[in-house]
Amino acid sequence: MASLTDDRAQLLLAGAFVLAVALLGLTIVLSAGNYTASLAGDSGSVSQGDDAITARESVRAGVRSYLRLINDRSGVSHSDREASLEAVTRVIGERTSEIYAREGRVLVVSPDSDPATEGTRIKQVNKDNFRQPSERGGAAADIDETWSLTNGGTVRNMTFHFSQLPASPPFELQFRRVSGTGKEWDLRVEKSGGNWLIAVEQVGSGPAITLTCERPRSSGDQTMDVTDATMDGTYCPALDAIEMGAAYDVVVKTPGIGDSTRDPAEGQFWVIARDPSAEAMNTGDPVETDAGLVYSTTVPFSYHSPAVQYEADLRVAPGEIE
Amino acid sequence: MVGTRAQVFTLEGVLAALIVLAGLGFALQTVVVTPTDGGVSAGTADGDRLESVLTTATERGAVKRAVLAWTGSSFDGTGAGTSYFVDSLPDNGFGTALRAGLGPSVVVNVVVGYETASGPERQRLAYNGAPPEGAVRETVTVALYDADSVYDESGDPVAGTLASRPSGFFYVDDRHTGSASTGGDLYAVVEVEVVAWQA
Repeated sequence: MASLTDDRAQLLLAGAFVLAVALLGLTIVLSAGNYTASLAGDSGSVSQGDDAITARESVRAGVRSYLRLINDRSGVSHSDREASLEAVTRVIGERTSEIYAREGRVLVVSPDSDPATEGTRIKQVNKDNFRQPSERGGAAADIDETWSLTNGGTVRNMTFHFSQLPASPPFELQFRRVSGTGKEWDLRVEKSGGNWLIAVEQVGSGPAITLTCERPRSSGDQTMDVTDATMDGTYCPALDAIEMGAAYDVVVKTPGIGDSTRDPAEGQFWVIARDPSAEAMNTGDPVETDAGLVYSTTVPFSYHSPAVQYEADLRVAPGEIE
Repeated sequence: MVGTRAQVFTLEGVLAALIVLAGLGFALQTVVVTPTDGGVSAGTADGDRLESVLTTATERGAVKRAVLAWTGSSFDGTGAGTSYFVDSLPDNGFGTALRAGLGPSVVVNVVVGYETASGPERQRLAYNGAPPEGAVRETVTVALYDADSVYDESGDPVAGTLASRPSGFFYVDDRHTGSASTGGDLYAVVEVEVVAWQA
């Protein structure tokens, strides 16, 4: 009898122990579940990661501003620009880290020792036509209408400032693939009644498509920003069709020179090309080049808060998708 | 026999206590969640939306232009006798982004924090009242350079740069002198704090 009671007691003991452990385990699991749900539903931007994104964009905006600034300077070597960029990036990182540290967040911005990709600005600051510089003084019958502005590589900040535009044939920019297949584009600009007609035709692989947009023809100079897809500051969807992130040979075609019945395109332009594309261009007076620019840079960035760990390499290339 | 039985009862008591404690622990965890849900006051603005507005305005340079819209003694467009906007926001890209992004029912204060030789200082950009408990607070940093223009209230550049202005013109001092290779092009890195709450 005593043996039976002892056995029952031991069974009760074991059963109660298992039940207690199960309940404690359930409590822990439910607690973790509650915490996770609270974190996911928390509208606080720190736990959602928005704060990390804002910090990242603050740093990127600061570096982007400086990249534009140092590229505006002429006669500065690429290594000097790179050293300045590294120093400024370091200071921005240190100061931003101090500010975020007060909120309990750790932010590290550590510039690379070799952070910058080199670029070259090509510009025509005096009004002239857009033919190859060496052929601008030639007779109309002798010269080629086309000029290879860049020889491969990506370009950005491509802006043409026209003091004169033709009625017909149009001024033309041709975007040709350097290698491989892909979409290629012809961009034509001409007068059309009281408007400017901008036509972009896809001529490479894929279906043939022509997109157009017309803008009122105001008096005075006209500015076409190919990278920003605007004509005189107004958005032109046709320009937006050109995939500016790809590498092209950019060919400029300026017909009508020497023909007194036509108004050939004239004006100024500027564009930043990524090396080595700029090396093989046919430039010369009045077309200038500023070599040693910073085309783009990369800034390692990390953000740590109790709820969010975020690391990224920030690519800064003004005018491009970053 | 009696002693053995007593030990079994003791063990059962201990186990029962453990079960009760586990139940209490579970109940307490549930209670902890309750105030989180119920503690959201009616006066809280949407922090995610504020963060989004600030990020976009920073990307587009609107925050920087607002910080640089300084006349020498006040932010451009402020009323007489005050250096910052009172009961209003600047009529520029940053002010428009805050108004449009947060809605008319949200009240906003904007303060610019910066370093001086004697320590941190703050300059109000817009003051629209004392924020209540639960107001949302977000921060962005803005890098200012010697070559940056000063702007008017609408965001158009005014002739001259920070470096070309006389000493004491701008409310922030040049914190980084020296050569470009040591970061001398940088003027200062300031902190823009926005506090928002429901009216």
